[in-house]
Amino acid sequence: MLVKYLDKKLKKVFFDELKIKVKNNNKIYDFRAWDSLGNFNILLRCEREFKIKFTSKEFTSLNSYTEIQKVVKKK
Amino acid sequence: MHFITSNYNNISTNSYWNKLKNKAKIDEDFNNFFLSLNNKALLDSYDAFHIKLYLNDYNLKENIQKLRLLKKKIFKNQKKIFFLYFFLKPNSNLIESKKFSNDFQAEIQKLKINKFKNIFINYEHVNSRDFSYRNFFYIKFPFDVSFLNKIIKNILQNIEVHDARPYKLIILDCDNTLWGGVLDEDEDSGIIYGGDNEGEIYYEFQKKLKKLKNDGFILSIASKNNEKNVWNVMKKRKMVLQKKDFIQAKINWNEKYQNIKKTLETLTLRAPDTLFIDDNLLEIKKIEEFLPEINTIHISDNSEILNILDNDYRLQKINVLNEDIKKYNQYKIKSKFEELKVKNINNFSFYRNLKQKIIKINVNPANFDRTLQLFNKTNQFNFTLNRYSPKTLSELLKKKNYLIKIFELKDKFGSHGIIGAYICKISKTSVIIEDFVLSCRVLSRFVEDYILYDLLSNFEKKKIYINYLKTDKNDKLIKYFLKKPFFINEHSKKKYHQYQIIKNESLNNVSKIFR
Repeated sequence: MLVKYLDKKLKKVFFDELKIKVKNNNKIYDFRAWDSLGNFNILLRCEREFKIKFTSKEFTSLNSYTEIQKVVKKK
Repeated sequence: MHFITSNYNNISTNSYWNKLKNKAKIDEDFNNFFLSLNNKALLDSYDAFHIKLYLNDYNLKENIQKLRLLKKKIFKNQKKIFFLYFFLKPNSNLIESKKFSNDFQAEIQKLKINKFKNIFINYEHVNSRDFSYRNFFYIKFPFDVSFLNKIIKNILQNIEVHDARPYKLIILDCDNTLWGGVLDEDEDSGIIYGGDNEGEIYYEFQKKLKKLKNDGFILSIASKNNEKNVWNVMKKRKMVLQKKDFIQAKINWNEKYQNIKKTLETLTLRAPDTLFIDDNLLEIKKIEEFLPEINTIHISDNSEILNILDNDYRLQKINVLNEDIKKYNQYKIKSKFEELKVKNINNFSFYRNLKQKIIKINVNPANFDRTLQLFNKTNQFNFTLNRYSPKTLSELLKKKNYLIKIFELKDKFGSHGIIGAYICKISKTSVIIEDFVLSCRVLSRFVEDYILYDLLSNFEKKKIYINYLKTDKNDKLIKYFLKKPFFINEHSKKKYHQYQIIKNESLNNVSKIFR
């Protein structure tokens, strides 16, 4: 239940921030808007939306939907 | 359109920026604020620039150096507005922090940017909560992302102030607006004004209005009171505002909307440029019904009024020309003139007694802005409605076969300032008036006739023509003016109607009015 809710909310983050509809297997550069800066915007938005904080390492290494989803879920 | 640049990554794709997307262009190329603003084409294509500088111990010198070089550009583009946002991040070490703030202040003083009328500065201290090392190192954005929201709000507010058209006229009620209590019921001493608490609010309110007057807003009154009592109480209670501060005060028992309509007619101002302030909701509703375009403030809680005024962007003038400040006196003169005119309609000696004098002036750097403003803002008495950019006008000024003059009007009440201008193209046999504009304030006192008379006298051997382009804006006044007998031989030339102007008796008579 929680996983489904989180998934929905995360996809909304991608849509709000970059105006793209992501699927679970998407990763960075699959869309024009999802470039490196776009990726940072996603992560910054996630921090705001889920009230979490990424470490520096996570901040630079997370760059696919599943990875982001995994870390957000963990936190 | 506005242009936003900075010395750090703007993260321009962040959704926080959405609020601003249709109002401004956000510089995507970060750390190049200096390069982008050095680009002439870019400077020309935007109205205002927002430069955000993140300054700390390390980059202070370098950025100030860049600003110093930019200063010349800013000075050359006086028409453009520059907003500077300094985000100061001192070291948390107290001694170093002190050194940083001293250095910063010294540099700013050396820059002397405070003297520039077109620069507005915002200071923001970045505390450790707003700052993010991680963002700084990885995306070259030094702040926490929530701080971006604050920055954008700040910019948005400045954009709104910049884009707002300032009011021209503020019309006030008296009782429970300029002071507390009802004058015709309470004694003079029963009026609440000055002192502590409620009286202090009215005192501050009047002080604020006086300041607005000094900025070039016109104050007027529409109130149901006894006029004598109003001026008396102002004098007796030594109020900040006195009789001389108001123009066209209408204090009587007529309907307020009638009074306001009359005031607007006399001053040739429009309802959308007018603000009406009253504590009586019924009066406000009535006025809104008859003058639907007027702006109103209803004082329901008098302690809120200062807050409302502070937050009304149309009460702020960021681009104040000296002419705007003089306007107050000019409208006062006009108001006196109209009062006299009502008594002496169409009487030649009346005009002669005004002792009008027109002074021809060449366009120079000191009056260039006003000249440009005349051509670009005048709608009603404007023969062609051609608009000029600073560049095209200065190019025309350099051409030898063009004659550009501006006019100042003086009469026995004082100077009206620069009120008109023309652009003439001179050839061997003829003079073509390509543009002729006159401020509405001075119409119907034969100024327009006299300017033509003067031109005809100067070029007696040449034929004089004037171009007219009919539009919705100038249709009414110009059409009426063209019926005068010294316009003959109308014919079409390209997109214009061209009229020849000849010297005849009516024009000669006009010359006798002026000194």
